[in-house]
Amino acid sequence: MSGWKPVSVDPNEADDFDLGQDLIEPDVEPPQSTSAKAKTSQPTQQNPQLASSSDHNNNSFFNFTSFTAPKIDLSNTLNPILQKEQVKELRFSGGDTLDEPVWKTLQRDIHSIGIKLFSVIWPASLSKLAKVQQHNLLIYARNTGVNLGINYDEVTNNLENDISSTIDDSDLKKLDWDLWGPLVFILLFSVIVGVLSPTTSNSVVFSGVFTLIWVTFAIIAINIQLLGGTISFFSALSTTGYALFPLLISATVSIFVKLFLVRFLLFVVFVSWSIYAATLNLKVNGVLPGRIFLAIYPVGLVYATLGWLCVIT
Amino acid sequence: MSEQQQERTLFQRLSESSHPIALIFFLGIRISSLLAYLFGLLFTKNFILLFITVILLLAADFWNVKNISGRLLVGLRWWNETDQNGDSIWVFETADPNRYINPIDSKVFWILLYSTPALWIALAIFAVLKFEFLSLILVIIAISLTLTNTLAFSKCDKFGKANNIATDMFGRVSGGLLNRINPLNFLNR
Repeated sequence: MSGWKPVSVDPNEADDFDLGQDLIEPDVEPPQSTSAKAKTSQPTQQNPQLASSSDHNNNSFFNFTSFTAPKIDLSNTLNPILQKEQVKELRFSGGDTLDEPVWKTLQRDIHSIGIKLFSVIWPASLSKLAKVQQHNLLIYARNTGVNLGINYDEVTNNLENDISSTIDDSDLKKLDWDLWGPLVFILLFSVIVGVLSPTTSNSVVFSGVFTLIWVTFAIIAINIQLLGGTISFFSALSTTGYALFPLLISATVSIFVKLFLVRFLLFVVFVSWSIYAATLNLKVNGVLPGRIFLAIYPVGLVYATLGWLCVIT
Repeated sequence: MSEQQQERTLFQRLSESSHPIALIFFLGIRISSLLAYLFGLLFTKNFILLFITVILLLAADFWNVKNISGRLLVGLRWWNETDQNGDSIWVFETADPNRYINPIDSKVFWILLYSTPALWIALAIFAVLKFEFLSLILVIIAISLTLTNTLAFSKCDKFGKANNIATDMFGRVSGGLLNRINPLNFLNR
């Protein structure tokens, strides 16, 4: 009790008095500042409301009704996230697929997954598309002034004859990204490694491998995206994830085959297959011509590590 | 007796839906992923099996909400597409305003859309407190998948429902708080 001391209150710092002052003397501000305020009315929406309410009931000490139901607007919440992305807002106007049957949606997605899987199983089917895409990317790089270490003057003659007409747009549309393939393949791969692990704690091994592979693939995808070109993060993730399929075959076989030599041969064959498939898919999806090796090098390292994991367990 | 009455009216209400099958699938997959995570270990000792089940249920839920439930129940859809320069474009589509949106469908959709990520975030806090880091992996995946759908559909809706909910909640909280500290109320007592 004896420690109590009177505290001198600065009227400018006490919120209550501050608010009261504003209400009593609304004309303190010079007129030009109020016009500037009107221009940026969004953040200071509360002020005119307060001022007008104080006109009506000057008798009340504080007007609480203006606080109890403030309008909240969240519509700009996502803007910082979508700042660098292109956003399109559509209003359905008939003739689209908003009312299509469920079976059709399912069919389209399964078809898209099938095409991506086929492009990994038989990568040579992409070679023509990859050539055209690389040609287009070279033109894109020349027009945007990307330094690829290539003398554009030497290849200008080749660039002039346009070969992009030999493919149609639907070929590329089919290769839109999705993450079903990576999800299923990484799950299966983690199960195989988890079950094969000799320790009793295979659930820890499983979860660890699962998380580690996802994190690794995310880092790889960031690397590929940062190398430039027209590939997006998710497209890179999808491509490198789908190309995991050959490794999955070798992992499945190595459950049954314990012979080191056979496992090693499988490792060499299937890892090269994975890397070849990933290379062609990355070329199609928009990695710049001079940077394929930079993009594929870490991918190859990861595939080799995962493949080697299957050899030694 | 009254409880039974309540239940029957709830069932009756749900049966007024325009897309009952879509609604059942939406409810079923959303809730079953939560239930599998919460009570799965009572039925199986195999954590790997449970992990895979929950992940696949979450992925199925993500696909179902994004591609089926959203457009059938509330007439909204979002997707990501790549243009010729390889730039990704996020597209947020709304239905024709003259289209009839069933109030039951809409209510169930929005309530579950906002409550599920909130529940998963609560479960994440529990997982951290109990040092269950293997479960935490699952919960983080769940939060990222459900939250993506929630934010994207909110964007489709131009945050109409989100604004209503936030305004309502803030109004209730601040209203209660201000009424309690209102000196006039105290004087009037």
